[in-house]
Amino acid sequence: MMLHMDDISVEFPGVLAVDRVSLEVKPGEVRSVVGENGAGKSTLMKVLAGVYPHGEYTGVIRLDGQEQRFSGVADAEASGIVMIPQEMNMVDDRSIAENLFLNRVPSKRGLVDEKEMFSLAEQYLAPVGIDVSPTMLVGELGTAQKQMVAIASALSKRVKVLILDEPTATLSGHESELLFEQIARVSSQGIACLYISHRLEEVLRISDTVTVLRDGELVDTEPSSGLSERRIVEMMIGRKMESFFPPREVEIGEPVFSASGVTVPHPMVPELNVVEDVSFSVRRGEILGVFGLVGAGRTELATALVGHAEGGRFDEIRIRDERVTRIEHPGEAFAHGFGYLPEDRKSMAVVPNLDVARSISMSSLARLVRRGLLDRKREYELAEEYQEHFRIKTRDLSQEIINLSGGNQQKVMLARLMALDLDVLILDEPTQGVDVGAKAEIYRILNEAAGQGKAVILISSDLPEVMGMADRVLVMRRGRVTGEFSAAEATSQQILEAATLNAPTEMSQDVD
Amino acid sequence: MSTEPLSRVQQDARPPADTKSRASFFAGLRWYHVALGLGVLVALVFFNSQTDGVFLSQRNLTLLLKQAAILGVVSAGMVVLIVGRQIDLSAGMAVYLVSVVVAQLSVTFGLPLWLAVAAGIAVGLLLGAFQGFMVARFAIPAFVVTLAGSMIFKGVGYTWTNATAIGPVPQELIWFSEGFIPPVASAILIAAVGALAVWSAVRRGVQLRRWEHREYATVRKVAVVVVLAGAGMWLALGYNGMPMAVLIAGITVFGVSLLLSSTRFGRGVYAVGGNPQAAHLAGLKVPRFLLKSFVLMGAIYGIAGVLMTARLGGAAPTAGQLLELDAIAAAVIGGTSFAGGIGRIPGALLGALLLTGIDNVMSLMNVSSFLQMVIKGTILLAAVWFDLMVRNKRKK
Ligand SMILES: Nc1ncnc2c1ncn2[C@@H]1O[C@H](COP(=O)(O)OP(=O)(O)OP(=O)(O)O)[C@@H](O)[C@H]1O
Ligand SMILES: [Mg+2]
Repeated sequence: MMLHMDDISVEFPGVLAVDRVSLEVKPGEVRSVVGENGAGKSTLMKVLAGVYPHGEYTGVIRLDGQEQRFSGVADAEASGIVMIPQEMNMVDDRSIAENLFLNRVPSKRGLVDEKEMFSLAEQYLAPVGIDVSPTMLVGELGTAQKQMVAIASALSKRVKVLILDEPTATLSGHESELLFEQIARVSSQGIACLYISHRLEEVLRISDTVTVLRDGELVDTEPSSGLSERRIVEMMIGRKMESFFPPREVEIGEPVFSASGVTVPHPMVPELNVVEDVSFSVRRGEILGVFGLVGAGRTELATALVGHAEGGRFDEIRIRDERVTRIEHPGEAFAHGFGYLPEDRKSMAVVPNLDVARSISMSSLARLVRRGLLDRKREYELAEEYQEHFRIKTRDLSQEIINLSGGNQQKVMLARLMALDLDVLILDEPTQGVDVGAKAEIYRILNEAAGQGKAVILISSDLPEVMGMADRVLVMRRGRVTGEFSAAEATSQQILEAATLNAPTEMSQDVD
Repeated sequence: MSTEPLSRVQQDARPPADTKSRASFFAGLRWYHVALGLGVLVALVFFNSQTDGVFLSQRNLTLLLKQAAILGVVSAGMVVLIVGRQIDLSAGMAVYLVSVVVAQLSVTFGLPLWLAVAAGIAVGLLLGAFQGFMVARFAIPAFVVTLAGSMIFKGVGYTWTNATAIGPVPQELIWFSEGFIPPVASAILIAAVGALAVWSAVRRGVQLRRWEHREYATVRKVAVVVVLAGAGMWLALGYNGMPMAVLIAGITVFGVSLLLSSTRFGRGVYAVGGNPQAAHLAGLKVPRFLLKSFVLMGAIYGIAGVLMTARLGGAAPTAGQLLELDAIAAAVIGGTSFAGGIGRIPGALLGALLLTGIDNVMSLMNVSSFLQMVIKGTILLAAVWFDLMVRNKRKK
């Protein structure tokens, strides 16, 4: 089996997203596709997966020399090409088994054959190493487990080419490892994997060859053995990158935000808390990293602070000189001067039909009103300021946000929060799905914010990011703080240990 | 090998590739727009000849507009609700109840007209607020709340009136629907409003030129305004002038439209409808927007109820029946999506005109009203199918 894509181009109104790209992938090959946000990676893969059917692109796709003209996703899947998209589509309130088979549910005389379905599901789930019952609802799974279900689902379709679009963007290091094991296993069966990621160290590690796209064009395809991260970045952005983490010379001031006794109950299991009595504080100019594995309770901690966690509570929050004992709504947090950037962009941040300008201004409309009516011109000016500042790549500001590439959507979401000009920013995985260049820019923006005396709470599963950016690192595991380190002195080993070790009591002692 | 990819950088960002497609008055015009336009034109001419020229006469068109006024107003409110992922099944009966209040107070109790009207509008607001409160405070789905509301309102009205007609209301009230602004005054009014619309479209186009790069959109907007104003003046001068019902409906719809497109409230409605959870996390108080949308709908009950009383000369037990379904159909025909976050009021107005036009032309042609229902249903389906098809095309 051999996959050829010849001279593929895709044009959207106003953007040539993919410009005459050719690829050739061998059976069992792990091919990474890298490039800046908006380079056309997802679009190219969607062509391959039948999301954009024949006629909506130009060029030729061939499998084993046979030309393929997919009429849709189902058609591509029937030919063995399966894509696990950047934004996964799973039905949260259906069982794992049903999601696994979706429209191919085994049936007997028109009724769903549940016994057959569950036993088949177990059979497919076992190899990907998730140890849960297929009767469980998908909504109860974490992102990593959902991904495994998606892979199991792909494997159940006799896949020949597996496409993974930024699968690790929301995974922690440990979970990524599990994914890589699966990729290795899959490719050893002769299945070709196309892998998109902005994390170049993993790209180098797991792939045989790397294809670089820039502005829709193919830059080059090279074996990964001859490449370095630095070299890939050069190819991606077309110039050398100096430093990744910009130097910080920020004066750390007085404490500006502290929270005590934050507790969040488990949504399903009574008497279990996903966040257990956590207290912390940040100073002006400080970047506080919050590290932990997925499921450590970091997101719940943050959402409890802005009144979004179900049943979440805290003893008190001190912001500047104010004492707050209740926050019922994220809007109230804004009014007090702190705000939260959600982790799950698709379901918790993006409003699909708004254009870029409206998406940016959404939280700060109050200052755009003149005599009761919104001043569209001022709105554009505001949006433009952030577009330039964050280098958001879009046709124009009246483009619908859903048409932006994933990383650019993320920048828009960050812009929405920054436009509020808050004192304390709580950012949950702010660089997920963001390319290296844009990451460096977000880091620059965060440093700048800190420089203006704001405090930044940076929740991240990306250890180098936490160590490179934070002044201080809080490590969480199972809802508790299990370590607090000064970033300059700690080693990644220490931080990882605090995040993974199993003895909660002794760990919580060795704080700072 | 290493210099090759780097050399490409110099060219850097490419210029926007679509300068071509923007640079024409007809940019973005697709075959289906043309087909639709031609279809409508053919239909108009066909029906006009079938009715011996009555259909497109100034008199008939004026009456058609008057007939569409109430539906237009209710459809506008319906768009707001559907955009916010809500629905209103009670609109027809709420309008009926308002009409009962106005008629009872002025006829049976002999209260001064202004008081009866004010009370009617207040009751409308109250009905809207009540339903909004149930939806926003207790998170009961709007479908259920307004279905119940529909039964309750109808029941209250029937109980109070014994399901009989109440009337006639004073002539002054009837004038609010059936009266006319004299032809010349109407023409001047239409010209003035048209000029204002052109001015604001141009001003907006110039102000936002830097970001929207759509010079031709402004030109097109101006062309539409000029055509509409011209048609309006032609109608006004050719018959009795502008019906009061049309004036009142026009002002109301303009107000709602402005609220939806250019205020924080309207933005909130789109955001809440597009993704409620994201709206919440972006600091918007979702229940408050729902409550406000229903209160706005309540104001519309009031205005539509007063218009209805004026048009019928009192409260009739059949008044308002199925009005909500027509309004939903008009909104949906006009491109409002039940998925939430999508929909515009001008579209719904077109939908309301279309539905009323069908009624009108079918009656002129003596088609039975039962068959009319079949035709309206078919058009509703066709419109939604067409809209979905176009939308899917555009998304890719
Ligand atoms: N449906 C669409 N309509 C219009 N433009 C689109 C659409 N989908 C993608 N684009 C544009 O095409 C370009 C390529 O987007 P694509 O999603 O392929 O980027 P990407 O390389 O996957 O980026 P990221 O790393 O951020 O996910 C972008 O400029 C994007 O704005
Ligand atoms: Mg992408």
